Amino acid sequence: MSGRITEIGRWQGFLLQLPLLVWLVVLWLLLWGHVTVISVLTGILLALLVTRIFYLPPVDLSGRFSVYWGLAFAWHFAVDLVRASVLVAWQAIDPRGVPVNSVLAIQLHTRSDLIMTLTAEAISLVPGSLVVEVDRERSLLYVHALGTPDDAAVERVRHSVLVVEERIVRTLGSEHDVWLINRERRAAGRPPIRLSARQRRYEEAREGE
Amino acid sequence: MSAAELLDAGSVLFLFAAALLSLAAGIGIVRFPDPLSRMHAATKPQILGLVCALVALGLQAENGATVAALVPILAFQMLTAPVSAHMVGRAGYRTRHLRRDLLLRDELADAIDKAHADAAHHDVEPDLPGLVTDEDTSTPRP
Amino acid sequence: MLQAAFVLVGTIFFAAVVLAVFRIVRGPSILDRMIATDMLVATLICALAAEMVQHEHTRTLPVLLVLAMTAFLATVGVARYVTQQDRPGGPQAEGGAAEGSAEGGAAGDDAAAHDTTSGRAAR
Repeated sequence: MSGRITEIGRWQGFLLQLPLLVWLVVLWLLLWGHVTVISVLTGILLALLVTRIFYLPPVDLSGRFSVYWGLAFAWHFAVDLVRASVLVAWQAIDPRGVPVNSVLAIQLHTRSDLIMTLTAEAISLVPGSLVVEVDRERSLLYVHALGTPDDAAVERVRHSVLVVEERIVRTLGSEHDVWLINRERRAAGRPPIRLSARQRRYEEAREGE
Repeated sequence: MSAAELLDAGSVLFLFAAALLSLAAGIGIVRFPDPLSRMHAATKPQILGLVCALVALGLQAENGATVAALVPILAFQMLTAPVSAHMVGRAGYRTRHLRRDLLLRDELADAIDKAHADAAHHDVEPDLPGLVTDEDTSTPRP
Repeated sequence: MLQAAFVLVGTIFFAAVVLAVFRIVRGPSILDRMIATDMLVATLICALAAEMVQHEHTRTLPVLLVLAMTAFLATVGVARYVTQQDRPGGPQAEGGAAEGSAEGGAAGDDAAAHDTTSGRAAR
């Protein structure tokens, strides 16, 4: 691990680690099943210990989180999960034979590690699509998709992955991520997402460069 | 019909769904021709089946503590299932454990071929896509 | 009535487990066996939950939790081993990853992966 960190860097690092610490403490409390002073204290102690021993590079959080889009993402995810599960169950027993598959290279819009990871998690959890390889440098996901009999089905899978990415960006993407998505949408002649005054200023500054 | 009976019936319905998903996964795992297809079949009871079973349990729970104990079960399964799926998928692809004749498209093979062709052309090491060693497997969610 | 429904649910779970065991026995590759084992554990978790609902207790809840936490470890281990075995000195094989036993190789690869990630984050 890299040696010396300045005082400010350490403080920022702590703030960035805070969500992880809170999640660890909450998990500890859920495991115990009750909230007492002792369990909270030991939880905080263990969370600090665990994050110190199993050090991971801090995740670049954008600092914003849209509750509305988070819930929308959760809802769409649940719907996708049920639909895909039923679909794969049908493909498993379909008497007409086994499905034809594809390995697709899907170019994500953003470069953020966090968004890429969350997208890969979300599409891996939904049956019928599976991340085989990740190209982090080019932000490519290689997805193995079940049941793609023709090119139209291939494009549907590609589109569905990009939609998942878009929902995640709407939930917790930075201004830069939203700008990347918006650029793509404008090029395709679709309306941009989330145009707050701040976002508009940011995008104008980027376009002006 | 009393409320308890309704809850019981609801539990049984959700358990039925979980059981049927498991059965479909079992059929898929036997019927599908290559490991990567079978992987898809296996992920079903892992998530939706588990959700159904946990909902059935939650309906019977008498207190909040039991429901609270169900949350980490689902959380852990949702965090870890993609990891093993990805690792197996990756290993399956790399070790050629898949039936190419059943693939409509293989853009990863295209990319690898292209990298090799470029490397041969410029006489350098091939810049293989996807073959980066740092994986997303060890990063917990914030 | 309800008991009959539970018996039916149990039978379906049993059928799923038999199919998974069939795939474990048949293989043909180790990956198939690992996938089937994964599915077996997932089915087992669901079946344990069903049993708890039927007999109205929560004693096996910790078992569920531990299974959900650790079921993926064996799969990841085998998948790593299979990947490494197949490409000795592969394109990205660095240091400890290329040489030695499966365990040693896996550990080396792990450490290397961590180093690259932290190195990048520190830039």
